[in-house]
Amino acid sequence: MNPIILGKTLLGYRLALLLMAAAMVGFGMLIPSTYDAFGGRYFEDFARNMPKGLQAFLKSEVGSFVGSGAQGYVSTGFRHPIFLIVGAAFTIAAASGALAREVERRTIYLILSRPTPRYELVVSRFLGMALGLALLLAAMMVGTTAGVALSQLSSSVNLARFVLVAANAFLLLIALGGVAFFISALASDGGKAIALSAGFAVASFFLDFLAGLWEPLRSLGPASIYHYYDPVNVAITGRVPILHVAVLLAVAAASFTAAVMTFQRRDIA
Amino acid sequence: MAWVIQCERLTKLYGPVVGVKDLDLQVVEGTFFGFLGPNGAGKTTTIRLLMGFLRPTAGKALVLGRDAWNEKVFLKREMGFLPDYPGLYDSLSGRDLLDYMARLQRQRPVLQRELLERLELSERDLARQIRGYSRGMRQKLALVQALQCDPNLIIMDEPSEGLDPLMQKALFEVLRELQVKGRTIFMSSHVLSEVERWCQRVAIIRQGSVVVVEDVATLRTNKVRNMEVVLSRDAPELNLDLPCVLSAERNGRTLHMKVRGDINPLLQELSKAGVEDMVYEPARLEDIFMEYYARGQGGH
Repeated sequence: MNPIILGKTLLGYRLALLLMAAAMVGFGMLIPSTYDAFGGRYFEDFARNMPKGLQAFLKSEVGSFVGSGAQGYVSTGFRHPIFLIVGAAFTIAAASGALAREVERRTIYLILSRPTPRYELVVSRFLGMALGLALLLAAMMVGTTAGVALSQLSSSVNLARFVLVAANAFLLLIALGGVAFFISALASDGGKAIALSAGFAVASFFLDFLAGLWEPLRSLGPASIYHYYDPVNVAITGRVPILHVAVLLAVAAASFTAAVMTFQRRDIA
Repeated sequence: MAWVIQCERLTKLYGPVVGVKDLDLQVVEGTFFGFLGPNGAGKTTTIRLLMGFLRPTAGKALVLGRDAWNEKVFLKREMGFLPDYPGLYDSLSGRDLLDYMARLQRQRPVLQRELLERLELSERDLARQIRGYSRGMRQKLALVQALQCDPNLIIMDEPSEGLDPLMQKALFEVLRELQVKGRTIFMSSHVLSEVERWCQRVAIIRQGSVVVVEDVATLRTNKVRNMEVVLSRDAPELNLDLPCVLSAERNGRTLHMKVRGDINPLLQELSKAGVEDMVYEPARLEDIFMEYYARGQGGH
């Protein structure tokens, strides 16, 4: 790891991170404050009437919400498209900018004309992305905590379990980041790297979604990284299945290693 | 004599496209070396191979005695590099970019102040974001980042691009001073006049292969040049069978000759008859360059 590159990477993220973190705090506060609008303590009745598609989207059968009350409701914020899109957007933009965009803009020649091993660049940039993600998730936690307190749901929401939810989200986004870094390490065009990484994220999400909705696709669900991200059940049970942790870590480690090796050997032309 | 750059049968293929092929090249320490060729000849590919940005398809490139691909990180401690059309971080200020580059080099930017002065980049310029810089200012900033830590080997791809003639002169004076101090400068260019004026030694590359490596002075000496002499009198006894005379035609008192190399014996012979007028074609690098290219296009 190169602290100079890491510092420059984080400085480069500062404006985007600040805006996204502010959005995450606001969004985290918003979810608990809408609890009453969706039935409050009668939320389970609402959940019972949810269309099957929405249940699949939330990765929760009606039964999951039984007895969960505000805890189950607040956890849906971590499965909300806004949360998923902001997290994925930062991850993909950071990964694509880290390598492919540098090659495209020819700034890579400045960095690699210094005594900096290529792997140090990849590791430093990956670490920058991981720290950025940690900040975004911390912002979401701050917002959720504040929202729960302001909505006077503190007695019915166990916030400690949301730390596990955030950890599950972090692992998901790190796995996505690993894949996006691998694509970025191969590409010489930032736009192409973003398009391919976003394509992977969207395809993976819909594979998981459709697998929950359509029986013939159910067996393909485990092929998606989103299959291993289940915030509603983690918030309700207080447990992240070890298989989920292992798979997401394995995807992150394998794709990141592939990114380092690819970038180490590729031509910069 | 220490070789700073040694390429042996260096080849880089981009699929079916030849970047460079069987390129042989040696550069001696402390030389101001010009690497000449038109666009697409393989100059930039060669430079990227020397910098370890590209992995050779075959052959080898040694820089400071080390493999340019396998030991690229170590080598960069000794090198300063200016890419062609340098990409700079537009959101940084010029000052931040120079500081960032010096910190990555892990060396003090001992020449920075002098370079900024001579290339006329003020602190006010440096305080601005790079995105507001003109082409010339970007090039000057890229030059400062390449030279500021006083590297032993300086590799530059078209360094005078975007500079006005005054700045070009300032740049080459700086480079000449560095060379006098013992630094090696390897510079690609398609501007023949600047190579002719500043470089000691030159390689000409054509279609990915080096066609000649020679001292600029020797190239000039070896060029076949036209000489036209009007003698003071008819002198049939004049002996033109000399090593430097390749061909000679007489037309009364006027001689048309093609000569090469040391012409002193010829001048002595001509003085016997007396010279009324003489036109001796200058040996310009441009003509030498065109000669090599004409040969190539003729399929030789």
